[in-house]
Amino acid sequence: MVATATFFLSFMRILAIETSCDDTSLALVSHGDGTFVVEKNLVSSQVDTHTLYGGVVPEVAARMHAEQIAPLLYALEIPQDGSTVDAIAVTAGPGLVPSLRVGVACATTLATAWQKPLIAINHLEGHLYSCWLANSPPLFPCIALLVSGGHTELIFMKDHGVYEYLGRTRDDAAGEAFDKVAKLLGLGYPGGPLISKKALEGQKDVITFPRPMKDSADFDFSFSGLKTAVAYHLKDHPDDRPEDICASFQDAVVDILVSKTLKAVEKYQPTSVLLAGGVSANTSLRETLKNTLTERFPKIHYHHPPLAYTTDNAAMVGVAAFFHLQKNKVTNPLTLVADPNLPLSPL
Amino acid sequence: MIFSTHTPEETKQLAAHFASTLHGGEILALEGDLGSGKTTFVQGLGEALDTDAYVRSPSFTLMNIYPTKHKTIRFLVHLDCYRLGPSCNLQGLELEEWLKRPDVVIVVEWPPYHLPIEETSIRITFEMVDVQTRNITLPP
Repeated sequence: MVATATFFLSFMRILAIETSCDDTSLALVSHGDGTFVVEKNLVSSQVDTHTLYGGVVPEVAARMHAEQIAPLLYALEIPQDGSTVDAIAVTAGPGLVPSLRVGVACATTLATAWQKPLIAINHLEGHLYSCWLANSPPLFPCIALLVSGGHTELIFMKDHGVYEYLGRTRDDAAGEAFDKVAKLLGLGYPGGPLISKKALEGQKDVITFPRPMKDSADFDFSFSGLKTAVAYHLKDHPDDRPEDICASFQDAVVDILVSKTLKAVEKYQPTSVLLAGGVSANTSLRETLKNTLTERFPKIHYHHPPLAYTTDNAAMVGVAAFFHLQKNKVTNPLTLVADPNLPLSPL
Repeated sequence: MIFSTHTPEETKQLAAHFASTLHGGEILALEGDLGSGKTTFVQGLGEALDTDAYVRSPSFTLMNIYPTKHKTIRFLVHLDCYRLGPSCNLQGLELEEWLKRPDVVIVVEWPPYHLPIEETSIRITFEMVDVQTRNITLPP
């Protein structure tokens, strides 16, 4: 009902809001002539605060989102009547409820006050669409490997908004395994960047860690046993170089992720392969997946988001929202609630 | 009582055996190091309570809720305070709506020092003995 004419604008600017976990992010994303431009993507990370507390505290996270969202909105320099914005997008789940609520409250308020269409976006969908911020847009069908602190999923994307789960982790997410192994090694939080940095100075073939479920018939993952293997190895070999352990552990994770993705590629014959989520910032994963694909399936296009859009950000939410708008999928601001278990549902 | 398990399957079987003693309304506090079998134990509970959902580590999501098809227990609520640390107070997780419900079993990995309704919580400890063996201590 609200401003339906905007859906067919040749130029469109979306205000996007993402507060599902530790980062408060607001972005202005515009689309014109078939390309996306991230005009602004502001991220206010809480990592320092949570490192102080030794983890994420839901109450603290929500309070920090509430404190940061207004200054970030101000920094976007949108006129007070919202006249330069055509639509508002927000992550509605999955995530931490108190955190999600801050973004949802802000978005529904602005959508009502400015009379703009509101689009609720699934956080995972946002990550998938971060690949549309790379140089050339992916072509369908796509196989997407989405890897982050909370997720490890293989998704078959036949078209915009058409998702089929092929596999996911049965226990720990890949990013979680990085965090926990970093903790076992006393490296700190978040674990991914710390491990990959140490791994650069290590030998990956010194220790052979197990590759749970690598050869299983399905597309599911399991990282819990790998984490346990590292824990036990440390107990038994306290003098091993942490660099070698990091390199060998990372090699096992990358090997599992790449093998499973390749297996999905063999079966589903996609046109493009997407790598997204926080763990997609891992250089070894990016390069191994790219090189293996080029070698075995040279015709398949490979996409990963620019580094800035691998971790949680609002720009990816804005991109996903653009495709929702194209299909006229808008959300009623009076009924939108944050959903911690929001499923990835079709458009 | 201490039980030794030698495979994840055995840990799940022990959990299933333990699940048969649950009625609903219990809070289970699972203590033990990384890799000592806590999540595997919860997977066993989930299977025994007949949930269709995959029991995954909630370390990142903090709380997972699995609907069950058990005759008196309707939900298994799986909390993980690993990222929150032992001093956390669980505020903001909206745990209140699950507490004190007779048709809910709450299981907490990395339980904080102060669990709500502490007096009714059941403590289960996990110890990694060697690469295969776990010693799991259940209440008598």
